[in-house]
Amino acid sequence: MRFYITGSTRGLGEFLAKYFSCKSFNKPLDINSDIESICDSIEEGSVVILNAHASQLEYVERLKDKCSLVVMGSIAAVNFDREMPEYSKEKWELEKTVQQLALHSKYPMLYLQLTSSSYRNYRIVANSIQFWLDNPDITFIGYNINE
Amino acid sequence: MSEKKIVITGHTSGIGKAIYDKFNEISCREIVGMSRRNGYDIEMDFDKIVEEATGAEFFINNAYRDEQQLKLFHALKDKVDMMVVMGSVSRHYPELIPTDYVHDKQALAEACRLESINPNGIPILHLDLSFIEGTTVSENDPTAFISDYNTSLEDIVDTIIFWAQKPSIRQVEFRWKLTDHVRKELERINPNLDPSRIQF
Repeated sequence: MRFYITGSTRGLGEFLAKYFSCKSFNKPLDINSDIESICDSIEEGSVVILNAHASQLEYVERLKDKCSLVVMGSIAAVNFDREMPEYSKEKWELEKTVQQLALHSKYPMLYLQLTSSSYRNYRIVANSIQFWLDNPDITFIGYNINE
Repeated sequence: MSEKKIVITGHTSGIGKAIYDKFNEISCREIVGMSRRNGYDIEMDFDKIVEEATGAEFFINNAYRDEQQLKLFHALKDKVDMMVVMGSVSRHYPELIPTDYVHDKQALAEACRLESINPNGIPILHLDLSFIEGTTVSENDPTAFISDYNTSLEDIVDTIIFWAQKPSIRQVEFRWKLTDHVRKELERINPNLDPSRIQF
């Protein structure tokens, strides 16, 4: 199975790119302005990890009938972050959209509601994705805040 | 010193039985099943269940009856090492399924969420389950129905075993597929439903 990832130059994205041997979209491609060409280059039936926050919702809409999707969400979607209101709002919209789409999506869809601690625990995120690949009826995994 | 045990409510049928059987197969711990059939009614025998489950390494809060599941959650969340709570993905759709069951599962999910931000809280896994393979429903309950798309018992058991090794996870949801059969059943149990509400 072929894997792709957005946002893989550092941190969690970099780890997942190596773990799943993902094809990445790096410069000169721009995640925001080259959405169409990036989506066109993705092979049907593959797994796409939407790690970069930029244009996440648009990628979901464009790829939902073409690939299995792993969408990196945030606890900020439900625990409103006053310091980043736009971010919280966008993540909330993303979470609601993915939960609805996952009911009928042609391909499996997983939403990961990450917390600051799970975001740094690369291995548990990779293990969660691996577990979902074997159990594709799972649509949502959330992590603890109290750690 | 008593050996640690795993306690499961509602262990004689459905998902509770699948978990009970699997844990008996793979775990060297004592597995304790508590159901009405062996004298552990979650309402009538509430105090006895709390007393005997206290100190368990793993408590699987599976049996549902009205608010009793939530009461057991509160009674045991500081008295066991880890807890799995069987919720329902239907809690996201109270307008589609306006039943006490959905209301109770919403309250349960919120209690789990609040506990997940308690710095002294125990690891708790809240499972938002979809329709489950082999479910039986009460013929006396006009709101009950069986879906033609089910989550397998094996997938749910596998998820609990996965979580036992990764307790940083607090919530897992399973796909709740809106098939034509489910759509018709929703319209049957909720005659006042605006059909546009089931266009997901």
